[in-house]
Amino acid sequence: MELNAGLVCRGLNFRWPGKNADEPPVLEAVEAVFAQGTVSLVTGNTGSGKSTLMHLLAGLLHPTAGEVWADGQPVSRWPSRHRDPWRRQVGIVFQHLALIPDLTVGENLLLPMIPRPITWSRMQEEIRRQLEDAGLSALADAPTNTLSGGQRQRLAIARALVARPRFVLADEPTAFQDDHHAARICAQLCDIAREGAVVVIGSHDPRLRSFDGIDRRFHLASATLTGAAVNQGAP
Amino acid sequence: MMPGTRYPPMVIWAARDIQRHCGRSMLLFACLASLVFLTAMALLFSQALDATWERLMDQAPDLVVRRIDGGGWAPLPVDVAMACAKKIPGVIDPTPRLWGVVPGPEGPVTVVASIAVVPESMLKGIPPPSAGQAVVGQGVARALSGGRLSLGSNHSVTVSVIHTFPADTGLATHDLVWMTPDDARPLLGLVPGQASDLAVHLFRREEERAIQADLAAAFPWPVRITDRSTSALNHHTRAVRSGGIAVVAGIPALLALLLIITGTVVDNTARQAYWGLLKSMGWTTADMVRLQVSRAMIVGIPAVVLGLASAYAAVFYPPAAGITAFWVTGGQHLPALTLVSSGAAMVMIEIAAMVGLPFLAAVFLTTLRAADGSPWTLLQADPWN
Amino acid sequence: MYRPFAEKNYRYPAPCRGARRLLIIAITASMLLGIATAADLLRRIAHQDDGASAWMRTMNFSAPALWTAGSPMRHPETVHPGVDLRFSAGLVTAP
Repeated sequence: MELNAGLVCRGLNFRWPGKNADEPPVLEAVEAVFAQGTVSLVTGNTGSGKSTLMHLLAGLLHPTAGEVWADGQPVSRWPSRHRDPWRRQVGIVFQHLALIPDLTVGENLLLPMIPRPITWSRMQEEIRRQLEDAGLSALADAPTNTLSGGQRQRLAIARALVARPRFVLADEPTAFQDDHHAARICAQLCDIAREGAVVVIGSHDPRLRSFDGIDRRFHLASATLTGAAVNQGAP
Repeated sequence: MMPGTRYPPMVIWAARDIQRHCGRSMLLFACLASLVFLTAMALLFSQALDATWERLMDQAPDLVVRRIDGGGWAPLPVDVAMACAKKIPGVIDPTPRLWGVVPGPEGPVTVVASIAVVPESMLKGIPPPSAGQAVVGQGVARALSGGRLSLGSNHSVTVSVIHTFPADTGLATHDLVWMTPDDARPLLGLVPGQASDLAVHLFRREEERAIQADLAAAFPWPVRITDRSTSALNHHTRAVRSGGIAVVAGIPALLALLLIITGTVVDNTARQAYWGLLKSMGWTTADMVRLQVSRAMIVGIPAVVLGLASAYAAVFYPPAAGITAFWVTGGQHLPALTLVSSGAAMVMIEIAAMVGLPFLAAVFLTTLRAADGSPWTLLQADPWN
Repeated sequence: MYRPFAEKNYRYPAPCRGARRLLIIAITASMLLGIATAADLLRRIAHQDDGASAWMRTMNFSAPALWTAGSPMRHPETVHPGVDLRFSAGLVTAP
């Protein structure tokens, strides 16, 4: 395994622009390694900064100080012309899902595939595979705004995974799921990690805390990230 | 094995995006097409008219000499005039003309009589008129009753029409009545040995201004000499002015296009969240520009082509060309035009570029501006936050 | 045999069928219109109507019959030098 493989936070600070300097930062001196082939869970209360951390890891936000490294590259330092194409290696599940309501389920999955240099047939194959994994095959032609909350969330996860990303960042991926589907989503994310991806889940869902597939657990509180490895057998 | 598709995914997605905003795209299409149509029709018409004029005027005599006296135009003694003209170096082929404008059944017509014999190769089946006969243009033939034509008011002459000039010669013969010199003279107020004027061709065309003074001095009576360049220049100025005025008619469509482009800019602003989402999924600014430019081309190219093709048909296909001429030149009764198309291709390319390039530039710049932000900031403009 | 929409049978999950039809219509219509116009243009350039020119030359006409008989544009040689059309804005279109 490559020494620096995975996502690494080095002294990561984040403060919203325009906020007073005497107000507490959202994240302060965050040091963390999200290793390749592992599933990491970041827990914390609502508003503790989990989503912000996800957005920093995905390169959607700039850290105020510190750096995010991906596979040994300081991606947070890169200008947008380099970071934008790098984001093709990232699959992000937004807390608010961010689906396009007037597109069909299949077309929502097509969105991340369009700019990639792969054929139309291959795109369709990948979408078919992902729909089967998400249990949404029968709804491929359905407009997204006709789906239930749980189906929409599974679609958002499928969209994050359809292009086989190297880094998967899932913000509250089981919020609208029943126990069966929550377990299925966890298993799906574990499978992705076992295939070599870096999976980071941000959630305060108690069902995830007790899930066996989690390799590392972090807790975010008072802008500080603390954590420990739990599955020592993981690569 | 599934079949693939012949189109790049980005282009398919651009078409899907058009479908998502169908009404706006249709409006943009209609606006672009009408703008191109109005502009192209006016410019094509004036260009084609100018080119046709130039081609026909190339056959016209370089100089026309008319005798004048205190009462206005006076008949020209043929023998004296020919002898005087032939004395001037550089003058070739002076030809006396017998012609004039006389009242016809439905307005003035041009009566001509050819003193010389018209060559057989010209006639192509048209019998030259004998005494009491005439060959007429399409415009005169429409007003005929029973194959006979009465011309003139004081000295009325009635001739039988034996043939009509072919439609493709209309630009020269539309209002023409060709008869024998003996039939024409009473109508034109001429006696044998007289002509209406003298047509002169020059050895060197560029000398037409210089030779006028010598020619005028060679005649024993005052003359008025008209040169071809002056007529051509008058016409050219007029054609350009007509085209320009007609282009002004396109201003409402231009304003509508600006409105649509402004709408597109607003649309882009409203779509910031969409751009933010695409960026979060690995789309680059260049990808988004490609998408929007593809979208603009899928709407713009058919609109421009349709506008150009409609303008082309309106200018070059009689009777549509007649209607266009009527509209563009402000109500003159022109004959059905068969215009020269050389130069039309260049005009069409110019108009396509004139409308298409600013449109594509507007799309390019507004997309670049809208999409070149931080993805997180763009995502905040969304309905889901 | 070539079937343009054969992929229908394979049931793509995101076929964008309408978008592809729109694309086909846009490309086909543009090409047909463009080709038809270009062909007509070439035909006209190749087969210029020379009949009018020939009669212009034979009859020694000073101007083509684009304007009604008797109008100054139709017969420029009949315009008297005393009548300067530059100062008669409305007169130039009168017969």
